[in-house]
Amino acid sequence: MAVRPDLVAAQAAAWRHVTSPGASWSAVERAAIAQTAIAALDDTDPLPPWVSPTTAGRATSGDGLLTEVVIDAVYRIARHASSLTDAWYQAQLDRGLDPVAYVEMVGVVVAVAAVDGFFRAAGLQRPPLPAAVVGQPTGQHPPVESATLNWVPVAVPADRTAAVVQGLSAAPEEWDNVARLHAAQYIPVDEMGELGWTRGTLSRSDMELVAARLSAARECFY
Amino acid sequence: MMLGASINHRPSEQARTQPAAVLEEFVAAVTGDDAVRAEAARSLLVERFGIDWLIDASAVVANFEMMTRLADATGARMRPDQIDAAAPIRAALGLDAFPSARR
Repeated sequence: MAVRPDLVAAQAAAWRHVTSPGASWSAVERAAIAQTAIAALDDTDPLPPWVSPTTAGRATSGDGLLTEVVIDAVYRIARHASSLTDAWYQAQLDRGLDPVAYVEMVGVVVAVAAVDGFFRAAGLQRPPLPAAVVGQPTGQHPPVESATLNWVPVAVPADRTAAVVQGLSAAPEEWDNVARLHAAQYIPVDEMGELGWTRGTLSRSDMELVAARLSAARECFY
Repeated sequence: MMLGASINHRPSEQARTQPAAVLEEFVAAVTGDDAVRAEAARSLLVERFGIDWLIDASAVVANFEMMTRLADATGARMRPDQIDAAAPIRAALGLDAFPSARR
């Protein structure tokens, strides 16, 4: 089965991105986050949302590399994102997770969900993650502030764009990765207003039908 | 540039038929646990519309596996005017019962 070159390129870039150093996490840590997300998505006996893998005694690929709060949060986001609440988010911060590092972690998990989602839907074998690139976190973060439209901190100025767009703005390289995937998987961001846009297969309304049904299946209110 | 590309990529003749039921079954099947149903849904999509449709429908599925998690993990909320405007459709679809409902 021949996959479009632009889609292959975006997926390959995403795989390299999640195994490269970020602003808050090293390459090895990001690769461990990605592997933990993959394990959650592959879990054939998934834990319910209220049970975390570390308290259930599940061994994960993040053991020894990630703290328990990170392993538990990654599993929950990968597997039960619709069950997340503001109180849950605050509890992760109380357990020691830095809010900007949390945003970058979310960026890694959602990129994994995208690549995994394609291969799972198409019935194809998902490519393995590449080896982590050696590298430490850059520590470079944009100025951030609290937002009304998200519970995570966002790059200043807050609430000037849609919540789903500004959600990763505290980790701009993660948003860039999402935007690349978005363009190859769905529609380039700057073409969103073009209701006749198509690749010659699904019409825009067909794409929106798939999007709506998937969002309903995942119980995503937003 | 992209606008030009969109003009040059008109829906095929096949795309002008009614693919909604095939696509709905595809999404339901590939998000479920029944591997046989999922393979049948893929086969039907390919049979009716071609392999490129399977690739592109799978890509849209992938995009919203990404965006739903992004919205829910960052606590994304709609603006109050959007919430108000969507009240009738939310009620019709039962969306307010979703655990992720943030208003």
